[in-house]
Amino acid sequence: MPADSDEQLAPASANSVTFVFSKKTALWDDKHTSLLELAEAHGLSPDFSCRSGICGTCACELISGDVVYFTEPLDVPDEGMVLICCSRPAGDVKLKI
Amino acid sequence: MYLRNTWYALARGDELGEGLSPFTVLGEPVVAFRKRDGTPAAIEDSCPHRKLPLSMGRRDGDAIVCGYHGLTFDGTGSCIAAPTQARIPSTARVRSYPVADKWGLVWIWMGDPSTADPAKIIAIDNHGSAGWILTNGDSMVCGCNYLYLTDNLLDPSHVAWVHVSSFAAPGTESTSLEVKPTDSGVIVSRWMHDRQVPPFYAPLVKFKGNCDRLQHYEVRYPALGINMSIYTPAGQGGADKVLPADAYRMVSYHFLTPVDENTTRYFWLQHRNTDAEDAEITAQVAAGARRAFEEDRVILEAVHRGMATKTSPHLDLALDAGALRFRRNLQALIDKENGASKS
Repeated sequence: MPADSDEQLAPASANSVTFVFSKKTALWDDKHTSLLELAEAHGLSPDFSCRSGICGTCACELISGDVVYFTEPLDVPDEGMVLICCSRPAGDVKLKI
Repeated sequence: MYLRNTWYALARGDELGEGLSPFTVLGEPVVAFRKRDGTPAAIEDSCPHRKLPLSMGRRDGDAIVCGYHGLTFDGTGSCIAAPTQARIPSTARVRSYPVADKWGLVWIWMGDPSTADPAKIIAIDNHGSAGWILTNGDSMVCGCNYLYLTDNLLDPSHVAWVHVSSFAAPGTESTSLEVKPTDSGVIVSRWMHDRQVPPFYAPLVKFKGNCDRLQHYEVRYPALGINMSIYTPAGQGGADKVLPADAYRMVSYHFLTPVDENTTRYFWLQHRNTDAEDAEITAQVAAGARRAFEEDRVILEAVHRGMATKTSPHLDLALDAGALRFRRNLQALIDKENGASKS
């Protein structure tokens, strides 16, 4: 994990979210609703449309870890993919963003 | 593909009479008429000889005589005369469809006739209750797939742009929506608080000033829309409240019958709890509904054309959550029905 990647203060136990393409790591904070919002808060601009789990636009590859959906996606994403607009990390995750 | 084991509205009750009325339902030709006892009958509108529509023939009692060579079919689809033959061909038979009168409409069952139960035609809550009135409603033909109409009937947001002169009011463009799948369909709803009463309802509600307003958009499988509007004085409405006596309720029922993949017959009724005896208000409400649904028709026909001929991708918005959930669940029911009929 790059040491200089996270500028936020977060509890030591917070889950880390690594955006692999962007070479950024963030600590999850419950002030964000979704992984998409976390990515945006760190200056990233993943594609999206509905932001509610129905269109699939924000689907991205989950390299490691797991997510929990706070809104059930309309369609289950393909194996290894996650919708970041309606999910949060369950433990440390690495995303291909 | 369509859901078949369900009641679809075929026609307004007064459309059927002694004459032979042709329809297309789920892509199938149907001829309907009223028998001498007044009950409706519907059979396949296609003579099994050379497929001339039987609706081009003539009535003979409760039977239809084909206008080509006189093959004659009764209301059950059985051939009862073949004048050119010594014997009636054993294969001379057309399909018959269960039909029933209810709510001023004639309903048709396009699926397995043995499972048709008229008691399962949609119920209208509060029908016959004191103070309520059911208007006869009206119908139109829309040049779009029926699922664009179910989309529309699960989309409270569009009123802010499509129905500016009727149902729109501040709040309709951005108040968030609650999507609730049920066993029979999907409900998309929201309460909006302390808002203006929109133009269509302003002369109808029984209080002055701002309102709390419910938009309840429900579609039951496969294509029955229930659109409930409740207006209370501001501060008195909400999902957790006992509504006051002067709460205004209007329920529009929308019955969508696929003619084919590109055309839908759209029937509606309205049921309200105020001014039951006032024919002028009834006429005003009916005219307002027709005007609003014409606004929908223009949009949805263009949406159908736009989606059918698109040259770039379309996208989905959060407001589509209910409509897309409905489409998924309906498709699963259709797949299940097809699987069951094949096995």
